Amino acid sequence: MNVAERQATVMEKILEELNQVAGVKGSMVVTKDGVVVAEALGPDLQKDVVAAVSSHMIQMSERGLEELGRGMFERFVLTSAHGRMVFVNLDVGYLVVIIKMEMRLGQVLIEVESAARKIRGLNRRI
Amino acid sequence: MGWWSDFKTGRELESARRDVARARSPYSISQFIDRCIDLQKLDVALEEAEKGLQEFPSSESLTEAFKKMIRAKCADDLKAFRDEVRKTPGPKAYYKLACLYKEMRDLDQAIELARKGAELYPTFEGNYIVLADIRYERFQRDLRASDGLQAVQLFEKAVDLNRENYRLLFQLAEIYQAIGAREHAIEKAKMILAFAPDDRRALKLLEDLEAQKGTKATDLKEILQDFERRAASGTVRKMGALVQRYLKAPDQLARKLVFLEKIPGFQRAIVLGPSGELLAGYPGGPDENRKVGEVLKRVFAAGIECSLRMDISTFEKGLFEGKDSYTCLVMADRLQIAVLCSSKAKREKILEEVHRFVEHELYI
Repeated sequence: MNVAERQATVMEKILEELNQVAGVKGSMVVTKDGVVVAEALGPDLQKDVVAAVSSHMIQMSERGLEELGRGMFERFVLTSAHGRMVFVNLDVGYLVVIIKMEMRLGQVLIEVESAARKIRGLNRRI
Repeated sequence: MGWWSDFKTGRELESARRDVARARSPYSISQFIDRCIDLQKLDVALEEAEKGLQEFPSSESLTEAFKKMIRAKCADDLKAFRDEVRKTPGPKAYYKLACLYKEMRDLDQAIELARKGAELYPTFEGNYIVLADIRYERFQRDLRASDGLQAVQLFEKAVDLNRENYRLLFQLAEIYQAIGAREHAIEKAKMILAFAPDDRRALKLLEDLEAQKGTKATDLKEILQDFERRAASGTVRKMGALVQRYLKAPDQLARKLVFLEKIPGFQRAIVLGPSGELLAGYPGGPDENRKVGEVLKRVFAAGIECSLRMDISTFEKGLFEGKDSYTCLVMADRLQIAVLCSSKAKREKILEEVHRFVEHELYI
């Protein structure tokens, strides 16, 4: 197993732990171009769709924020009528988390940030 | 409680009611509902929540207030139905619990239970109806062909299991009628008349359908795609009161944006219309705001597309947090509102003030 594979395996473990938090439907680490680095998605979520949609959202947002002179975002919370998505900038990619609507966002965000910290730490170590 | 406390409660309620009457908005109604809950006047709260939601169907505050009320009201039933699923599981136990969650607006839970019920007891139609209802509700909100098709397929599955379910057949016939699938609607109306030949509602429906002009297409997918196209061009969905008001009076909207200045670190607010056209901006001149609006239009479009493709329904709001800035996006009755702040602002304060602006200031 090479370094990248080992890193992906550890990331998947972190994502699986994150998915144990009540309300989290699935999570993924994806690059801006839509390359999936690690994923732990529930049965209702399709890897290709989540990656493509996330990549489009990230690219459009970054481009827009840059044009407005607001720099890159560190975190983006998207709320829809039937669910939420959280995007956290990991520098080397983005942590994308899909959350059920009924859950209190505050608690889930703490867990998401904790997972993001672990993944960032992993990148520094390797 | 004694007469004195009843008197005091009544007086407080009256005072709260007067506050709502002075500035009626989803926000003020939800404040009134909270006051009713504090005063243990749950029936009044529920009545107000229902009335408020009819008046402002897409309001976030009122939806939350309604959920709170329904949850309080259904707490006993929830415990009983959960026990039933655990101790004596059966198709109806799953169905009842899924219906209750649906009423409580916990749709994820409702879907999960109905799916499990349908998987364990595939010959019982009830759980398919719950799934179809939820999908149909989403279709009504987002007007997407894929939702409509899924809803209809689930309803049809339920009809296959019970061909004499009056409510189901009627609902399906009305759905077909609404999307312009006349032939399908007639077929369902005739199915009702096969077991209830004298039913007046069904006879009237059939008469209306036969007088109506149908679309040329007969394939349901095509009919729904045509419906989606008409919806996208704005010929199906009516504009809400808020968007109608401010499309007519964008100057009024521009004046309202000044309220947002109270957010520490406030930089700019931009409001776009349903097609992404600039309606108002503050501060800054029209040319400058139009340029900012063009960029924000693309970000809104990405948010809307992301929500629909992820199957989490309509995009409602988003908050970008950067090192030096916050960018808050909110959809209110098809108005696209963006509030730009510096990092001087506190996340909670931005969310609270923007919420109050959207749910109160815009309505009064």
